Amino acid sequence: MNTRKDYLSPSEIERLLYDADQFVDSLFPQTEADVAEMQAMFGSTPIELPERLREPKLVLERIIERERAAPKPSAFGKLVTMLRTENKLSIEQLAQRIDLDAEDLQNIESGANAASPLAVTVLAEFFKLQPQKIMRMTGLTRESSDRPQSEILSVAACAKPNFDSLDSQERAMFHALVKQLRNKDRP
Amino acid sequence: MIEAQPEPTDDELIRRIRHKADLPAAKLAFTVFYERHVQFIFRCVRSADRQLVGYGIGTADVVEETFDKVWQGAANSFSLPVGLSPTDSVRRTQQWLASIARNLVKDKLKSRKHVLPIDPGGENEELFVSKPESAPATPHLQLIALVESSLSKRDAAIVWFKIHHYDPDTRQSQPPPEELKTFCKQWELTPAALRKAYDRALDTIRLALSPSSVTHE
Repeated sequence: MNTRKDYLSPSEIERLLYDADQFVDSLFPQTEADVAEMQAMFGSTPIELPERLREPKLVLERIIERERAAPKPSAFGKLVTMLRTENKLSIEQLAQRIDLDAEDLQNIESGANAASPLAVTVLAEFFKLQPQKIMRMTGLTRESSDRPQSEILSVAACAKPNFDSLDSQERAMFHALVKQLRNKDRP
Repeated sequence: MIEAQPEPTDDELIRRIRHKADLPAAKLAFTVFYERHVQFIFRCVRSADRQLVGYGIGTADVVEETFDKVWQGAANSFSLPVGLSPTDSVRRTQQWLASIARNLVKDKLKSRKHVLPIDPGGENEELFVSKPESAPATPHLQLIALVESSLSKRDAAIVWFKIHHYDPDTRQSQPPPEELKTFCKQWELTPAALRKAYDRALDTIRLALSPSSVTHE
């Protein structure tokens, strides 16, 4: 009879994970008393820092540069986020429904990657938007629109993360924009 | 006679860093704040790095990212209680900075699928007093690596979220309702789906830890 226990119970696994997490926590001071102890251990004589950390102004310049370079959601990315969350879909669920890679969809929403024409087409079709209008919005076509794009820009500039966080006035504005994007252009 | 200006307190510096409408003042406050605390944070992270032999967390990266977080908005949620002595004020501030660095290190460890050789680029070699012959990972670090390699990003996040709120005495993980709500919203999950995903994740870890999954005789 094999009596050897070759697996762990869920609570034993939780305990192991907890210990691992605590181990990493224990590497850093967690209380003011810990800080005082470390200060005493380190002493007051400064040590030489790596070159890249020596000049605060240069450190700050790099931080500001990274801040500038960070991807910002495009108007289209924000529109997709709003429509997806309005429809109570997760990124994975939407990606599955339109047969798009979830990571690609995530990148479109975050602005890390521009949407490909295929992605624009399937997303426009799924949300019943006019593909040509979306193509114009994403800059995939050069057709000019004589209609002001202020509503579209306001979607991009909206700081709210999803549809649920919009107030009633913002929801009304958003629905007006979606309606406009669903209507065909008049000849 | 010119009177010496008193050094601005950390609270004052943090207030100026927050107020980016006056960018030159915010930048100046940041440089004073950085110079005041960088030595301590660097030594803390370096000390952790030495104990995480084999992971090469990148001390300088973590230090810079810690101050990056301060500039980007962590300062918005930090304030010091009124009436603290200068010594206590510095300790409280450094405790806060250390917690930012700790979370960054945790994120780095948890996003590593494999144990790396120590300081692979050789950039920080001078920081290691005695370089070990080999770079063995502790069981704790191996477990962290296993979680990341056997679970999806979402499920790994669920596991660490639950474990963060695990109480070893009651053997229960009960995140505060507000945190649970925020986490569920972030990952677009219902609490019930989170519980199911957590149970599945523990099962996956159990299988990965099972000796029979390693040796096939």
